[in-house]
Amino acid sequence: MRRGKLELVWSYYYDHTTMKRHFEKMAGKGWALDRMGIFWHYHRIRPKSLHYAVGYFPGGGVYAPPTGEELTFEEYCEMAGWELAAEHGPMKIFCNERENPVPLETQADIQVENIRRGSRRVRIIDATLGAIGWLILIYFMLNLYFDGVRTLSSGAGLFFAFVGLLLGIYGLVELITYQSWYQRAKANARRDLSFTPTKGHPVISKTILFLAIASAVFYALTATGGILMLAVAAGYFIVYYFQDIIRNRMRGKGANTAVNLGVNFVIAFLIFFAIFNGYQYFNFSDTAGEKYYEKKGFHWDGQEAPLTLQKLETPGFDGKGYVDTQNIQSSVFLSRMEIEEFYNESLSGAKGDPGYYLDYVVAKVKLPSLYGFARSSMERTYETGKNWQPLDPWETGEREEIHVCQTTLTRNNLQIFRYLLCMEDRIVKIDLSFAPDKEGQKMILEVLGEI
Amino acid sequence: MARAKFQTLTEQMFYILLCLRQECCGMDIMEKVRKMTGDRVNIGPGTLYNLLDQFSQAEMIVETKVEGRRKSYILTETGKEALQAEYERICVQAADYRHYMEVQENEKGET
Repeated sequence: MRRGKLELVWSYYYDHTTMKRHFEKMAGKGWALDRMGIFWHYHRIRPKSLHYAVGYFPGGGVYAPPTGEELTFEEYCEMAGWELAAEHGPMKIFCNERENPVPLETQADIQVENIRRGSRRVRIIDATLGAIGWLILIYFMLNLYFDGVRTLSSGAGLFFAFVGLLLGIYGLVELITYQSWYQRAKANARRDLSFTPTKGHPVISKTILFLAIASAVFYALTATGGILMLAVAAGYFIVYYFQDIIRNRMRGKGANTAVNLGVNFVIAFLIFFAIFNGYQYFNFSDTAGEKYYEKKGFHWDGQEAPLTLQKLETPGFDGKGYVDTQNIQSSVFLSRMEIEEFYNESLSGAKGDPGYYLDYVVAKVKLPSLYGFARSSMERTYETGKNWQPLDPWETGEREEIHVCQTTLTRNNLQIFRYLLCMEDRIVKIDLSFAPDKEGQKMILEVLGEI
Repeated sequence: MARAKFQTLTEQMFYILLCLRQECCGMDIMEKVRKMTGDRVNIGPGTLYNLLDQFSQAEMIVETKVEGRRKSYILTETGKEALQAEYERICVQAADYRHYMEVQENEKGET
């Protein structure tokens, strides 16, 4: 039989009514709250009816030892049968076994003011995180407009945008529900001293929490280096689990703030030290070898880039002074690969003929319904100020005709021919310093259509 | 400022101040008020703590003794004035009530 239970804190800090009801329900199921932090920690009891009350003591610290005033407040509560069950900063959760206890708060205006002052710091943090969440989302939307394919093919970008959205909703819901409660509660207290229960919409906060964890796990299991992220996330929860216990114990024993913070910092450091070293030791690296490309949605034979100036048999090209860069990323929606080959003496350290340039972006669409979006997005991203001109379709022996658009631009005094090739499951943008002949077109279609 | 804040007292404020006409420990006030009002008025510990704090800040009560965490208080002149003013306000209300009821009774008798 389990002796303890953990629950991630899912209610808003100010929402004392929801918390009180929840703890009373848990006591009925045989779980009594005994501490809190980012988790609610319960221990097993005989199922019984217990009364809970959430009080706020503005000024109460998380790491600082309780002040004399705080202890006096707790003693007053004890006199009325309210035993301190758990606390976190200004929030103090009391439990009472008496049948009809005197409520913790019997004057509504004082309760409203205490909740406002006691929850202010957490509300400011939540609102700031919410604002950051909306900013991330705005940044994501702008990127989606200007370079939709790159944005949608980045697993990390999608994950952060999704988390940003969740944070934004979380902060906004708290702001709205708190403000509407506070205005009503203040008016009711002023009018007839009546109490107004808080209502923080726990379904929304629980859903947000679930989606955030689910998306983090999904991202961690599908992204390159995701195992490390999963380990860090697990480490975060382990750190907080121990901190909830140690911080509360040290605080209860009157340890000063610096010592409490120091001990908790050392624990966090040791846990993360073990995680990072364990990761290195067991070498969970999932980025090596050919599997890296396959995982990202591309595969081709050999170590070289699939298409190079050399392979295109450009006349007079000797490769001296040329360097190439590549960028590959993948998400559940798209895979995107960009390879650029250009002349640069300072990077390559060799001298050659600076007359050639090659850059191509292959966007593989995993979700067919996104094809139209990916195409228009690439047309927008790679437009040069001149309109895309439709060309006669490029052809290759067995393949069907491929629709092609062309535009031109100038790069380092070099005229560049830019093509957009719309294939069945992918869209390719290719920049060349020369107009490819039939053979070149065939090679481009064959190579970039197969990888 | 203090007078404006405590212009009228709530029932709980009234009884706390009434208790503190004599020196009394903060923790004992809950029980004293309960007995004084025959269980009609109960003061929650959170409310009591906050009200004592507010009364102290408004200089309506003053700390007289500290034994460990047991603090005793007593009313100041300002507190006595506030209590007296509240008492008079309640008396005026009661007088108004009585007067109104008498008039009603008389009108009924005449008809």
